[in-house]
Amino acid sequence: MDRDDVIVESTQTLHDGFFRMDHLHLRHRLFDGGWSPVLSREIMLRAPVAAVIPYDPVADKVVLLEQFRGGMYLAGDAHPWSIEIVAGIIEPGESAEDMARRETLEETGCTVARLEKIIDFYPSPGGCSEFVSLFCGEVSSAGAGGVHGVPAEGEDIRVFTQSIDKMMDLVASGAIDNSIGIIGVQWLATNRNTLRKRWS
Amino acid sequence: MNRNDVALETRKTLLDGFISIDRLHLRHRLFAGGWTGLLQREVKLGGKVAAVIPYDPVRDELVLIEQFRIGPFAADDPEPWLTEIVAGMIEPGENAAEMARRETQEETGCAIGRLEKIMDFYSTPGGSAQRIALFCAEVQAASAHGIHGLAVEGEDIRVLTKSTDEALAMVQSGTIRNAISIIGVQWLALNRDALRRRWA
Repeated sequence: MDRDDVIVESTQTLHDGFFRMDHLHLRHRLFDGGWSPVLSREIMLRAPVAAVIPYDPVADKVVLLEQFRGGMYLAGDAHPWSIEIVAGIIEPGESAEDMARRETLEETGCTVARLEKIIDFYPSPGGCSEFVSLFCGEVSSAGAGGVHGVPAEGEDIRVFTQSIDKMMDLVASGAIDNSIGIIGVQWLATNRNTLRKRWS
Repeated sequence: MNRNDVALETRKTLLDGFISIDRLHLRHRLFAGGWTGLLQREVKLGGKVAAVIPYDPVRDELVLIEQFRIGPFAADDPEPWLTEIVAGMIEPGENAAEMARRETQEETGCAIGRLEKIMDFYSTPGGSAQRIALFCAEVQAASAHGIHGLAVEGEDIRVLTKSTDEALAMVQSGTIRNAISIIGVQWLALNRDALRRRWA
């Protein structure tokens, strides 16, 4: 089934601030034929995101960031600083690739050489329109470290490097516990041998 | 750094519905010492979600479900029906493992044998407090087929089975494109040999 199998009956904007929240009433076609009753769905509208695994194929290391996250704080997390790969909102008129390169430089200080698209995905498709384009970016991890980010945007980002095996341990122990980061680490664990051959 | 390095100045409810949003004004300690200026963050309140990879270790097959999702629809996805693993909100007073069993039965029609906890993670820690508990459940894939879900909750769920390798190819091609399901399929591809030994 596709978009033509959905009928929107009404759309109401509930909130329009940093992000927008809409309340939709809609019906869609059923697998068995016929149509659903009118369904009520609330949806958070967010801009698309580009995310980057900054990977050094020679040292076989990943550049990671640590930063404060409001969602973790509100969830009562004892340690609301998150270990992540690079991610940021794509500005209107900017391509995902340009954003991936710019955000990696801004957040880690590393310049991206080769850039490969990996996959696109929805972090939370039941309630949010956010769409992530995930890349792997070739970097030199030698000089990576220190504190980065744009203070005017409230960014305070600690940069460090880690081996893939150690990152898999961080996922298993729960130290890396955000969806974009986990997907990036598991992708790299599965694909690093072919990637290192491609980039050698 | 930890929660004690965050000073919450104000918290205001912006929206209190099926989805609730709070606006926080806060400061936090900086990596280099000192404190940030006053930061404003809008955060979606979390429910807890239990997600399940329904896996048949004998046939090396997963049970997947297909259903309409408002997130992709709002993002103008041409096919807003997504192929996913099992997931559902944990009701107050219910534990994650009980929920995992009930939701798998409801959405796939499969009875569960062994159930293993895999990991906990945030879908989008910057803007949402939602946390996901991911499990792998032992099922018999041969019994999985048909249309499931609670019609009163507007659920219309088609069940299908795929081998682990086929599911991994569906992640790579973008057919499986939501974060929880990608994490589940990647985890299974990395851990199925050990899991099949444990469950043999």
